[in-house]
Amino acid sequence: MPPRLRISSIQQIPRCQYELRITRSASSAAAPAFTPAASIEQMTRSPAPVSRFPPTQPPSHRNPEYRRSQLLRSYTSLLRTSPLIVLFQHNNLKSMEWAAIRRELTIALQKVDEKIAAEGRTAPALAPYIKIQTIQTSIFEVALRIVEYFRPSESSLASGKPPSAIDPVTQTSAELPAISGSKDDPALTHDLSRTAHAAVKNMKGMHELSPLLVGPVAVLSIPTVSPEHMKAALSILAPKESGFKAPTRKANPEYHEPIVQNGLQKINLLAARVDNQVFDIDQTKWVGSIEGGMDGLRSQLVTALQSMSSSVATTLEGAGKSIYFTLESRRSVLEEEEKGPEGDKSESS
Amino acid sequence: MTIPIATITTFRTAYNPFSRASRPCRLFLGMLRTPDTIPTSSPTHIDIKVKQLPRNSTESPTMTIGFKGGKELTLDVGKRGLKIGDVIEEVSRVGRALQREASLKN
Repeated sequence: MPPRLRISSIQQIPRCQYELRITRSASSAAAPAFTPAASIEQMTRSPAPVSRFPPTQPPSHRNPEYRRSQLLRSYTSLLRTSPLIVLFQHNNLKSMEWAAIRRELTIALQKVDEKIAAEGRTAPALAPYIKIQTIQTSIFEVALRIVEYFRPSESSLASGKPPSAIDPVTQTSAELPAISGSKDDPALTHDLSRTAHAAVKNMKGMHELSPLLVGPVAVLSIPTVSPEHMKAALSILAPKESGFKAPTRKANPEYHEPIVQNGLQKINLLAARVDNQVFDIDQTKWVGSIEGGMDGLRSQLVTALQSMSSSVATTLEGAGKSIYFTLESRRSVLEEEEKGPEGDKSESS
Repeated sequence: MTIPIATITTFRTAYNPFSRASRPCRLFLGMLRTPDTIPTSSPTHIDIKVKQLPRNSTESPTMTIGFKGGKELTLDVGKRGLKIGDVIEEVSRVGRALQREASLKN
């Protein structure tokens, strides 16, 4: 659309000198193209024609203003983003004890990061992202059910998005059919939606972890499956139960201060959740005992496969080789037999 | 109902955290593990030992509470189907009797 006012007419209007200068520079810059070209995003996707709610606040079954709803959202995101979660039972820890334990935990994890960096492996530093936090067990249980059991269908996911301009079926002027601004809308599939609520309602207490979520529980969340970090964390938080050695008094005297030790006596290891699977204490120990992290596990697998392939090759070769050797020896025998009399003749003559 | 914690000296429990019957054990643990009872220097220190059974064990959760004067109370929580309220009731009954004895002596 061309500008309503001609540039010459703008310049004719008397203004103060600074303002004039700005207008002139602006107009000279904008002169070649009055309307900026639409971005690719705008050309391929048409905006939702009628939106009855702000895009960040879709209608939801659980009231988003309540703390428990936001806690649920944070727990679902925690469960989706951290494949390795360790559960602990904690009883009556003082805030000072928590602070001391968290301090020891970060120190131990930073040491692991340094060790990995020193070995030259390309694993990202995880220490700043590993957190231990207390949870609201009942809300965490709901979050667990939503993450594990709620699978919104493709069609409902698609209908929640604005129509595509490339697809000739949908038109820019087409009204969004599904999202009507009502909570009952099946197209709404976010964690607080009624669809999610209804989908997981009858799964109450069905998850393997749900009997564990009783009383005060804390979770340690690790954003990647890193057995090394888990081992370091367990050696700080539950050295007796996990069997991983705690730092010695000489190496880390602060760890043996009464404030840390009294706190640790009130913490129990309960279980772990690794890649959507629930592990008990023994299995957790096994995960922690994997040497060299995931890279170590991969290298073990590679060496196992390599040795296996070479042994298979030698076995297969063996049959051919033995046939070859048999035939060769037979040939040499035959040749000797043929040569034998001649040799005798030559000797005799 | 409060538990006379000062009369308890030891606490042993074994449970499988994945079974629902272990709930009273874990909750009772929460009542005994307080800042007063954990330090060994404290006069009300309780010696607590927890044994967590593996996930697939079907052993029923049990707890043993040792009181001052050597009296011991063993509760088979799983077999009797006790809840946390029943456990507190049983323990505090013994504890209160001990407290009364002590106060009569003095």
